[in-house]
Amino acid sequence: MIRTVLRTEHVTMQFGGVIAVNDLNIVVKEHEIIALIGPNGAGKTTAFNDITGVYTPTKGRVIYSPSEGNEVDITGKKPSDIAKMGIARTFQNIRLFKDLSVYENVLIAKHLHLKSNFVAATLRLPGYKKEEEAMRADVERLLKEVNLWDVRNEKASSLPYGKQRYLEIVRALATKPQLLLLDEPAAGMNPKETSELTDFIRQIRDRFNLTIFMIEHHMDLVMEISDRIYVLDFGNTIATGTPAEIQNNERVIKAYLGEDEDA
Amino acid sequence: MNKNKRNIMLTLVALVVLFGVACFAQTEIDSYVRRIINLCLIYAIIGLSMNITNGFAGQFSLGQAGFMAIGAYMVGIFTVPVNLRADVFYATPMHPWLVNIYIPLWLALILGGVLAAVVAGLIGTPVLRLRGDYLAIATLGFSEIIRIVITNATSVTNGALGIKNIPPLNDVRYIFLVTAISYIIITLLLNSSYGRAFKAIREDEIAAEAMGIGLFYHKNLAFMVSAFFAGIGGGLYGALLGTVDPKNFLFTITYNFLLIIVLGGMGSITGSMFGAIIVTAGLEYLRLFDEPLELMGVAIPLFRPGLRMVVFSILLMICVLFWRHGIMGTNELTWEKILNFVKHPLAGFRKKGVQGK
Amino acid sequence: MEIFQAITNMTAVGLAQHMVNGISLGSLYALIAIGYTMVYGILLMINFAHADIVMMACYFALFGITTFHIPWYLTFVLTIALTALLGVTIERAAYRPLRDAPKNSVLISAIGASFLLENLATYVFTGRPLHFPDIPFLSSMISVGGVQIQAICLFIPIVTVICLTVLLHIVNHTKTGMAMRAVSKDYEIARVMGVNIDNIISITFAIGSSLAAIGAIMWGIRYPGITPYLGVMPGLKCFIAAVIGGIGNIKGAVIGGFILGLGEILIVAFFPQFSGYRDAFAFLMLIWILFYKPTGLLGEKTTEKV
Repeated sequence: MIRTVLRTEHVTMQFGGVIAVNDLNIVVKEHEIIALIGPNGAGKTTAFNDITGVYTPTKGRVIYSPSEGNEVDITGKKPSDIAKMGIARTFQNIRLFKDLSVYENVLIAKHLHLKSNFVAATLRLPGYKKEEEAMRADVERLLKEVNLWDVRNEKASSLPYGKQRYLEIVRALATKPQLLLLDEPAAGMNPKETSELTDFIRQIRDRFNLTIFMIEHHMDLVMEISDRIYVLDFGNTIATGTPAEIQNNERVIKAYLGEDEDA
Repeated sequence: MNKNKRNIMLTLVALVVLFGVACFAQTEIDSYVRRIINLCLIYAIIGLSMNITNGFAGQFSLGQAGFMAIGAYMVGIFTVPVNLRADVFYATPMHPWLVNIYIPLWLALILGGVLAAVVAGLIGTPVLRLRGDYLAIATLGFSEIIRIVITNATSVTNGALGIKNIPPLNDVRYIFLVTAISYIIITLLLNSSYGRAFKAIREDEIAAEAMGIGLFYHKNLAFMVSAFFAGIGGGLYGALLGTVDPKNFLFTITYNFLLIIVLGGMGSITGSMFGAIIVTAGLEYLRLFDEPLELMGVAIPLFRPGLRMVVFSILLMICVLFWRHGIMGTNELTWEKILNFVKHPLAGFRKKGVQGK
Repeated sequence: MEIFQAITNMTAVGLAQHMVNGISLGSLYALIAIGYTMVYGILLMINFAHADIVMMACYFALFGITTFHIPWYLTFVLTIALTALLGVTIERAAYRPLRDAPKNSVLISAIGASFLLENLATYVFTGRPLHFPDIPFLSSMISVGGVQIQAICLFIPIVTVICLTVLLHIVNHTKTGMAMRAVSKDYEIARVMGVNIDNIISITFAIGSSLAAIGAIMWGIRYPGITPYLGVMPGLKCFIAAVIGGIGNIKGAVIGGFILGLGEILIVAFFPQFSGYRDAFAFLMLIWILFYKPTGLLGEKTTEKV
């Protein structure tokens, strides 16, 4: 049986009187690519924030399984602790460390696995030196693999928009995640770039043995890559299924057409 | 690696040369100038310490005066010779537990730093959850509370009268060594993985947290290390003055260090060093504004006590308004840049980028 | 338990005396706190210089009466006008150029402006305390039901209530007030909707500074020793008052001001042994409120968008 990496149980998020996410029950299995779609304001990012600890859900539980037979309730845990357990994420509106170099951006993501304490680090004790070298070697490999090595000394904010999206994914990969959450990775990309990204996401899934859970608006990408799709509208899960099932689902079509009228 | 080794060698050579200069200064230069040099060095330590929180970790703290006071009082309370204590504590006798305890200066400095760090740790727990302005006002508040406690704990601190008779330390060599060690430790910390984590928090707290950097731990670490060195700097300050007084540690003194890091560049270690020298020497030099001035037999009006600080605050304003990144921004003066400059005097100005490795 | 004993030991007259002191101090804090809260509501910054605007207003009034021999009532009007002008000028010179700069730069600029005013005052007026002139009747001591109080203490709460009423009317029932609320709710949208942001900010500073001037004049009559640093402590406390009440909320600032003013006086009254720690009270309150209710008593909850 395939392991369930992430499971949300009746997760509900309420802001004052507004219910942003209502009774969300998602199951993400190992090595799957799962998409979360829905009109703007449907509560997708809120769901991500509930999973990664930015918010504590008003109700419900988030269960994460880092390895076979090992289940952890991560509801309301600190984002940094969740990251340490192997869940990495990107952000809808790109949150790079803007004034730092590309290289530093990725190197920072290695910090969470550092075992040496700050005294050992300050005094450059042998243990720390070894770890630092390993971290740097890792980063070098990663950056070379994704063709960002040549721009490693550029400021992150000086990269073209598309590369910044890639850099953010690479930074997340540097934390050695099991589960990668991508929040609209293709936002602002043209069709050609989107199709490149589609390949890239698949590649990293296979190369790093990841499970991927993503929010996306580009339907080409979603339909091509996803194993299963969840559709949110006004916080409610209105449909779930394979891309083919979702494409023909009337409620989904309605929700999207409704959005068009508003826009 | 090779380059790294060369840089370390160059830094060591530079420190040895500077220490030689310090030894020379100690014997050949008059005590007034030595005092200014010492003040520069001490302000450099405290400026650097403030840069750890404000420049690197991006936590705008205004508590430096309080942490300095802790260090300075540690020196004041324990390094006054036992036989002179009755003269100091003439109004309220010193607490009997303390009156016979004498601690050598070096140990008092370290203990002062440690106590400041412990206090910072206690304060940090509630305060570092705040952001921006709130953090500024809360740290400033705590700095004042520290001062108020010191003023009221008369049997320990001699209250508002202050502590005199601290063996004066106008020794450039000693203060240079402490500064150099502080500089090296702070540089090594900030260039380590922990220093990078600080910078990540400065750049984007939410992203840093999502990358597994515990905000509470790292902010508190930065805050405590900062307090530690502010405590050491404060201790040296007390020893240099030979007297400590609660009024020396009004929160306005924190503004000196704020100017140092703003001028030098928030987030630049070498910048803080330049800032410290410029501000301290500048403040001394500006003293001429406080003296009546006669130019060709005509008394220039305006020159009277107080003008110096007006000029000082105008400079701070100009710096913030028109020169926000200061001398260095978040860059460092590296040996590469110096060597390049020596080889091609103008090339360094043309190329401006972030240095990665 | 101790507190009950202290209260029972205190005579009714003594208690009334402390209450009067506390209420007048609280009113003064409230007037000054309003300036902080309004500016924070709109620009999301601590106007560090506000404390020094209070100090400058004291000097304006002092010199108007003593040096220029302007009748006191006229001086007061002039002081309010000059102070408003000063507030607006500070915003133009020190804050406006940094409107799009990082928040820390604005904060440093505010600290710089405050520091500059203090040093300027020290330079121009010297650091020696000057005595605020006695104002006919207001400065004199009167006896009300056996309680000896300064006449101004009766007026301070009244003036504060009047100011507050007028201010709330402006904010809630005029077009300018509506624009102010719009800007503080959402800066960008207000701009897009055609609100002249610069004007609204200037008006906010003018109002805040005028109230500070009114507070400062009464402060001067009540505590006549005027020094360049007189604003610093009250300023910090008033900002804290604004935070306690919920930053951006005018009524909250007033409530916060009263809590701090009364609390401070009553602590000294009931626990004279802690009087040295009087100034620490406000900071402890700040930490307490930030810990338990960071948005303040009347504040709205805000969440950062991720």
